[in-house]
Amino acid sequence: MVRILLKFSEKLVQQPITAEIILEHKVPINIITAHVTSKGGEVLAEIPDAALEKVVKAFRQKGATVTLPKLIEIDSEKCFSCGACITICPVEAITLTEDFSISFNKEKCVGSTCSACVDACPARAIKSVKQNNSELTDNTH
Amino acid sequence: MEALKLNSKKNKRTIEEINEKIRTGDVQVLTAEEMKKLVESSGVEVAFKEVDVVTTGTFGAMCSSGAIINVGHSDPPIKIQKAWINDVEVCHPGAAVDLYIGATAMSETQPFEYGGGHVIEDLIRGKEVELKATAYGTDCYPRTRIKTNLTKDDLNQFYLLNFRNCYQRYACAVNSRDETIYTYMGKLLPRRRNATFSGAGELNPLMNDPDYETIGIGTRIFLGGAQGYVIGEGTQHDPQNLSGTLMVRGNCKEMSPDFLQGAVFTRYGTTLYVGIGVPIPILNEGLAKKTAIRDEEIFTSVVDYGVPRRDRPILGRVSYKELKSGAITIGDKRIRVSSLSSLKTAKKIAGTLKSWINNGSFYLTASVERLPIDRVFKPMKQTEETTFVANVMHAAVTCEENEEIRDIAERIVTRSVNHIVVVDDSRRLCGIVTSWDITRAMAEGRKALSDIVTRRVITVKPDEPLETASRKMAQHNISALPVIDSERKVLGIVTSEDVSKLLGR
Repeated sequence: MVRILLKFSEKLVQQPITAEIILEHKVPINIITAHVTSKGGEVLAEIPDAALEKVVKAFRQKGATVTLPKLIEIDSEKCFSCGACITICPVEAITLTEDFSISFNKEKCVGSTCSACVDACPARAIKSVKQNNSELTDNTH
Repeated sequence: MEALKLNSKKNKRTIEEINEKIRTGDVQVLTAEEMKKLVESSGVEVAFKEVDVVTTGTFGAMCSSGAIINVGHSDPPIKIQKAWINDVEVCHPGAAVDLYIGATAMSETQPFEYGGGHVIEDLIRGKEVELKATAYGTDCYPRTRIKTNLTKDDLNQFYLLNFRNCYQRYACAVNSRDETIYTYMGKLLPRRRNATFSGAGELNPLMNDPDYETIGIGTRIFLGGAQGYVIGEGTQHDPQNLSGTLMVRGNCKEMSPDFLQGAVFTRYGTTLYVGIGVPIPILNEGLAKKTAIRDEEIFTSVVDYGVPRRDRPILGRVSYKELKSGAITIGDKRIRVSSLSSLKTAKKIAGTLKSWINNGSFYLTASVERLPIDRVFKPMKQTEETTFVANVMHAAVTCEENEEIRDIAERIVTRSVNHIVVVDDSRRLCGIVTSWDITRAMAEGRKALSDIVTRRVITVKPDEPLETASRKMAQHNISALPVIDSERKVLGIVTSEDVSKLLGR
């Protein structure tokens, strides 16, 4: 599975384009987080790896901006394993191991749509970083 | 002679005996963690016989920390009046070129991101820092400004001089407000959605010697990765409340950035994480028993940091065992809890200190004066009255949601107010409308009040200080706050005019 970040303009928000793409291409799209208002929307979705190219193309054709979400990255040099970030994470992606080290589960992290942990870190060891996937790097759309 | 007799009966041990064993390589050292296991499996008597020293450790944010430095004299000389290192203002408490870098002083160019704690860490790392200073100039010190780059090697003295460190235990923080708050206890989510705590519990130095039998002035300790000393009780030392503190000193030039790190609490400020480990000599069976203390025997209060008062409401009592388990229960609510201290580093400190003693590089000292056990921590004597929201709030002009916009407009005029608080039939807060909302609605030809009501209302409680109310208004760029009780019933309203009237008095 791969996560993509969809951005809809004020105009597009009125249209059911996600539903249309699911039906047209018969791909399961799992919405992880969604912030949608009348002024536009931002949706974090998960799709099967194999469908990535066609789904990205389909969303772009319909006028949505598609990028890869930024995930967080914990700098192990700076992190002193206090744990201040743990309870801030709404999806429990950060946990403490038995030896009181910090463990980060990338699969669970919802990335830039959340980033609640970033300003909770006293060591300033947490950063939002671009997910590494070359297929989507050209995003001048 | 008496001491010798007792020693021969082996129910006492002296620091000299322990140091002799360190010299010969026969010393038995356990970390506090290991000691607890030994006492549990073999009992206090065996533990006392077998163990000479128990090592403890803690690593946490210790704001009342700083370093004293002497930068030497320039030519021509300067009597520094104001000084900055990497844009962080440093104090000039002494004669000409002695400076104190306080951990919480913030950079003037990167406030809330870089501060005195970071300056100390950077110097310890061997980095070059920029010193800027100004002065008024005297006959003997004519220079009025200087700018130079320094590393720790250029400093004469560079001593960590922390006036309050190593709290024996600390409160657990939650936030009952409807908004996230940023405190010195970290980021606290609304409606008690998380909790934070500080301290190492059963690994904490003072918790393992709660009567301060062995810890006092002159006790040699692990401080920031080097050998340092206890120089007395810390400020706010509160022994009767199991909240003793230490004042410590150590040579920064020998310290390691692994155990001394600058840190930031968002919207609160900068600080320094300090690593401290104290060796507890097991001089008698009583100390063997005391060092066996477990997290489940150490309790602390759960405190509501959402109330910005000196005496914050206490919502419950939890043990360090619960705190370290990741969740606590208050009432019937399970709250996830995070540590702000690093338990991993605390353990590493106890382990490092153990290895120093084992390899003969660390000898124990007898303290020359015990820490006080009867000090009381007093609140501030205030000679000026403080104003709270309850002192200035007045009755709110209210309406109900089914009323027409025209009627509300009329009420605004006759009562000459700018804010109408929307309530339900039991006077609970539903929303707020301003004269601007009404003007706009009339211009747009709207009729229903429910279309224009602001429902996410920023509120205050009557016992909040007026400063808090004024801070909230500024933060949210609004000019009035409904005052509500714990059931969200409207008690009144406080406006920016009320605040400015009072300030103008």
